[in-house]
Amino acid sequence: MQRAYYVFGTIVCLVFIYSIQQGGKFLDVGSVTPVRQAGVYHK
Amino acid sequence: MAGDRDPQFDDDALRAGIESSMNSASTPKDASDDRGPTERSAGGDKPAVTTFSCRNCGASVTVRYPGHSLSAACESCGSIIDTSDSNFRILAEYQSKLFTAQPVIPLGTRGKLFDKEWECIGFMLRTDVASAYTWEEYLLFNPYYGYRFLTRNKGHWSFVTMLKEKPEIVSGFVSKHGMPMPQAFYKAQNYKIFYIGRAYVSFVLGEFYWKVKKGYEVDMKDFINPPYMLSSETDLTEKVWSQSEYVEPEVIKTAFKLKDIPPRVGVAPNQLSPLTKQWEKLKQVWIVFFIFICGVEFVHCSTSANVNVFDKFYMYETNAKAKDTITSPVFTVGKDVSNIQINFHAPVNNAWLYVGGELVNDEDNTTYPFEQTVEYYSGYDGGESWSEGSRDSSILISEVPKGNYYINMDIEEGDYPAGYVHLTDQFHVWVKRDVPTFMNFLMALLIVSLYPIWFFFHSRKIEVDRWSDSDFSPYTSTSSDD
Repeated sequence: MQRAYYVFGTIVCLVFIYSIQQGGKFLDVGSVTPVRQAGVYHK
Repeated sequence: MAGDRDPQFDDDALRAGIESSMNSASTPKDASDDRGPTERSAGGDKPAVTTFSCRNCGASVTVRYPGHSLSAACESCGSIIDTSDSNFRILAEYQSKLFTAQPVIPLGTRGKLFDKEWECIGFMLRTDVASAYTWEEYLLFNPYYGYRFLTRNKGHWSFVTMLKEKPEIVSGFVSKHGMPMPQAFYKAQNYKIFYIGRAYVSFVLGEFYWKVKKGYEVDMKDFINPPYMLSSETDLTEKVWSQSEYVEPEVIKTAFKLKDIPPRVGVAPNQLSPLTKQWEKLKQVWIVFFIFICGVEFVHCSTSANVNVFDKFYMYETNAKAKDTITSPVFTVGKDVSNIQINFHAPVNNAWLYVGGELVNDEDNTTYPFEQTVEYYSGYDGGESWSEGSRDSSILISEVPKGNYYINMDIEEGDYPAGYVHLTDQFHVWVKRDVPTFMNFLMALLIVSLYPIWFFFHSRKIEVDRWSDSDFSPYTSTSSDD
């Protein structure tokens, strides 16, 4: 159980670093999914 | 323990001979049927096992260590006999046949504990006067090292050594419930008070180095510091201290080669919590995770640019009942991958402003759609002013690659009073890139702390169980005292 915690905690730390690298992905952003589309309104 | 009878076993002169006795005193059942006292010598002038007839029932009684044992219990009738008396006078006639007990470690059994061989020669039950709770005590003997005790309490075993030094008692501490909580200090260790009461000998089997009496009462105090416990026993003449060390039942079973051993129940006062060592390790690892996550967050916050890349005010018409579509000028996001925070401020009062928009990459038309509402309501009700909502709102978009962007916004508004037709107001839009974030930080901390938190409370439960039989439990709530 303890070893599982060490592995799990390490994974959490890595995911946390990844989220920061991606500019706050996951909890800090809303569910904004980028869409590539033609004919976007342009002034 | 037989508190008032510290054996002070330092009689070097006896050791050589008694060692032979240890080797020769085989089983308790090998006594002959002789009616008079006899001695079986293992050879020469060595001390020997003594067998004599019980003056109450006539059954043979064996004394394995004559000269050391001052009393023995007849296994047949339970009478306690003074073995130091040449006529083997009866100290106590007989014990109730309705109340008998069988020792888990048969008398005469030898076992190796703490690298020394011990022979179990006596067995007694002690009973708490107030609660009638009973525990077992086994008298062990080794000719080189003297006497020790084993206690069995709810299946938990402790190895007991009499102390020559007197622990220091401090009585100044008072619990939160106003109860005095004396503490004992011994060899630089602090022991907490666990039990104060009075106990008596309720059953006896085997031989003892003092003149044991059924019903003999002493005042007892137990202080704990797992895996140790200090106990004091006080009678009218003296006070004796002993120290017990918790022993795993499997160790006892192996040492004395017992086929079966009753399971333990609950947590013993001096049982070392199996979680204590784990908790120490777990705490260290958790601190590493905590420092790491905080460090990463600190670096993240201190290196985030958090700069404005776009800032502009727009006008809109209140109660327009139609969407205004606004497109911002193109602005540049200058980092490989960054987050974008789009912020709005509108001076709404008891009204709302809705923005349905999209962040658009000017080069490949990748869009990031979003919706935001700015609403603020306030009033005065029942003598109190109130407000809800905010005139500020923002949305964060992650993983935005560098490039040129613009924002399309559809504006709607509502709840303005009817008289606000064709009035104009302005709202503020500004965009920041590379904004420091916190939610992932807090969530990471929470996730890595969940198991330690659970572990802490699980560990605490063991302590609560340990103290459940004590009048001095630090975990007893005030309400339960009522």
